[in-house]
Amino acid sequence: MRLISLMVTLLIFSGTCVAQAAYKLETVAEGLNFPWSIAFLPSGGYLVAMRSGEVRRISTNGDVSEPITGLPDSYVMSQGGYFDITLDPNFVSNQRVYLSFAHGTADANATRIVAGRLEGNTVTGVEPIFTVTPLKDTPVHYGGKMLFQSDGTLLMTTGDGFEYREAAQDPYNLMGKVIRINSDGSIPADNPFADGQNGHPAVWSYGHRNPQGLDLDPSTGNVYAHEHGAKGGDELNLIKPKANYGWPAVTKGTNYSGAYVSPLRSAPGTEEPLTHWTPSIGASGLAIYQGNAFPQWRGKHFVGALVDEDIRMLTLNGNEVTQEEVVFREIKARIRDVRISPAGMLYILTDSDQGKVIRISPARTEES
Amino acid sequence: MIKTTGSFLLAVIAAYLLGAIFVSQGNIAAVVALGFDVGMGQRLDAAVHDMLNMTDIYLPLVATSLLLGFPVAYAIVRKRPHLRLIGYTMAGFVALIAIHVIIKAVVGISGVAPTRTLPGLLCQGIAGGVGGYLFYRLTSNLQSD
Repeated sequence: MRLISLMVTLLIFSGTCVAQAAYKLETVAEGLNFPWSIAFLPSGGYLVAMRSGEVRRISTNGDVSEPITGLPDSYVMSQGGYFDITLDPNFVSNQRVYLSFAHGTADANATRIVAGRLEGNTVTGVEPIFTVTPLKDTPVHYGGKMLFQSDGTLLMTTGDGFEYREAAQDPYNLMGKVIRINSDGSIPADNPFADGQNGHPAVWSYGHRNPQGLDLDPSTGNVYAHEHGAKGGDELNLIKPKANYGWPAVTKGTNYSGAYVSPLRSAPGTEEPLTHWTPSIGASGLAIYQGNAFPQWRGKHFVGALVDEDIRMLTLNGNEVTQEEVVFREIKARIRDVRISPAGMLYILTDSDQGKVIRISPARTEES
Repeated sequence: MIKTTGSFLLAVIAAYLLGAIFVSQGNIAAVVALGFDVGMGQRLDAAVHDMLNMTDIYLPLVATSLLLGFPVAYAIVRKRPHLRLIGYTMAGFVALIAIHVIIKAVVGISGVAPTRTLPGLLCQGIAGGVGGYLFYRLTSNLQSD
């Protein structure tokens, strides 16, 4: 009886039940300079790209390596730096990694993707495979999230550069888009503007502001992205080819000045978000849970929140968001990224110059 | 002093309201240029919305710029009273343009979207100039009293 009482007390006071799942939070690495993204290695451990302009390898027991060499310098300023890092779908055989980052100078910069071969603590044969054009002169709104689809093509989000928001509506301009390329940087023949007649061949979708979350639901093949609004208007969208997501002509938010960006809340020919957040939560990082560690979370969308310092767990019925639950509030830090490890654990990156990697695992299970 | 302060506050409010309308219509002009339809009702709604909702950042910006601009004008025109009209009007015009240019130079991005274009920036100057003109008129009346 005493044992049962103790267990119940622990359960209540630990506050670790989300959607009937008992979990534990562990800081598995810390002291990271603005960590931005994670790529899990098939051999164990993972790579963390940091906005400060470096990538480090972290072992399963939390040992942090020296910065990986061979990668290009980045324009590290304001929101600029290293962004996303991802592995080639055939990484086991080709060891190829992809890094998105802010390339250039204060007067001329853009989001660029480079690719190279990871050999130990070095990336060799690094070469740019894609650069957003035109170049811009602001150090903000880069997008930079990457995702390999099951067909082997690579999606990347791009931001509007803040000062160039109207560019998001120009299909020939690569700012404010989701772009789709092959793993060598070439353009897939089935892209919506592949012939270049009505838009840039790399454009997959347009009308985005600054998308900071991108993930695939393998059970449906659907791709989801979320993007920052200005003062309100953060959106979760189902990404479809050639679709227009409205920014800046259609938005639920306002300018930081309080003025409307646009009086239009919806318009013919533009996609409605699946859900939106006003005021903004600072959506950052998106993971659709598919693991076995938390069966009750399968299909849930986990969205990090920079501003609100929590994570939103969304339940979708089809493409309708039917429930939103605020979870992991006990982290009490700006959330930069949310990822699912191969073992089904949630990995959270906190956003600061002393950033952490936090692992969320079942209360009585160790990561293998 | 109290009457001068009251004149200043009225000048700030006038510049703010006109400036907010210019911001509102500037943003809508950009949306229309993208090929979207914005009706007259939506334009009016946006103008009212923006006048009521730009008080947190834009109103202090307007107040600060005129607070810096009018003393400069006073220093110039106090011994040349015939220049009061042009002095205060120009002070308001230059002050509001200057504050947006300074923000862009310091922060690297524009605080008020329409000021990215020359017409949008000049419209802000006009709002400041109207504030300066109103200050001139109100303080002239005070002096004539």
